[in-house]
Amino acid sequence: MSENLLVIEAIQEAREAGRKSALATVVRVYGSAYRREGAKMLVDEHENITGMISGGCLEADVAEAAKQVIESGVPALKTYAMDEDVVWGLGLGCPGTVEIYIEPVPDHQPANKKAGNEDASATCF
Amino acid sequence: MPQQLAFDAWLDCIEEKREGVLATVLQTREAGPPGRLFIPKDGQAIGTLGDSALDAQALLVAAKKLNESNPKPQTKGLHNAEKKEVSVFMDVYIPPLKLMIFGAGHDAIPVAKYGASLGFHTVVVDQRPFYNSEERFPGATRIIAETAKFAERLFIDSRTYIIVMNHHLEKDQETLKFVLPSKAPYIGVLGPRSRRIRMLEAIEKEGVRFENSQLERMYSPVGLDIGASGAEEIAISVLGEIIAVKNGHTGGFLHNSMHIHQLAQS
Repeated sequence: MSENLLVIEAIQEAREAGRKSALATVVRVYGSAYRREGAKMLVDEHENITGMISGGCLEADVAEAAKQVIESGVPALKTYAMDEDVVWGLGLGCPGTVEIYIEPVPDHQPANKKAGNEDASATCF
Repeated sequence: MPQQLAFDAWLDCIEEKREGVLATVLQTREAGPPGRLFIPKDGQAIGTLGDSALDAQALLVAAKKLNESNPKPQTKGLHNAEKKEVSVFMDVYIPPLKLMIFGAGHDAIPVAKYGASLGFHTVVVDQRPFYNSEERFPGATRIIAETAKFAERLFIDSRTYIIVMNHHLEKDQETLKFVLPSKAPYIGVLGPRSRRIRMLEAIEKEGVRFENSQLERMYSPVGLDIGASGAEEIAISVLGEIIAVKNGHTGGFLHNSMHIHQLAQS
């Protein structure tokens, strides 16, 4: 329950330090998967990783894709179909299809820069 | 850009532990900022999915999700103004669920400890400060209150899971009179079936009657059938039951079952 909170904190930290980052989110699951929709992982430009989007099967590949997303600024939607062959081939054992959306984290909007920002904070109260 | 403000508002609301939904168009082309709409439980939505038809549907889905006691994030196929289907990921944030434990006896200690590590906002209610102490319940909110003060001191909503374990018949009865009419989805009561019957009969003699729908949320004997013995195992059994109820599952072995997770509701 609190795992995603660590990811949110990592987003704030990366922004404050001026590091670019990409956010990977599990957006669709068919069949079995260790993490469900909404699970998140943050990868920053120094390849620091926070959070998990699978039981360890996909993190390395998603981190690689995240680097490209950080460079290009274009989001990516990756589908991992863990069919029997792949599963047996890699010995992973989590058969199921998982879709992961990887998006560049937008820079922080400075609080005093845009008038619209007042509306943004107002909705939280 | 409003889409960017939506993302920031989402982060702010999570940090402030307020309920909200972030809708994101799953787009992978370089076509300006991704469509994004943040919908807080209270207040006005921020941003846009780039199409007023999409925004309207996202608002409806978000309102429905925020009304559920344990909503799950989900990708929805919504239709834009040209009737084309667009995949929109609806991420849901709700603050930590509350676990309210009545009774600060030694057997409540592992329940509070495991509850906190599961991410529950754990609350221990007992009028005895010697038992209901920081040393015994680190990480829990402690409320020192006698039963007569419950109404003014305790807040129970549809995301509060309750365990009644006062080890005291009268206190348990008074607690039940307070919690059974609440919105709590789960009320676990420690003790055997005979004790449950005895307490409900005593309450009825006082002229207090409960609806069947209220009694259905009362789990007694409490816990999953794992033969638990000792405070630690009982805590696991009780929390296992709470997780099952929260997730809409029935408990039991997964061995040989066809599905590990329930299929998402549409």
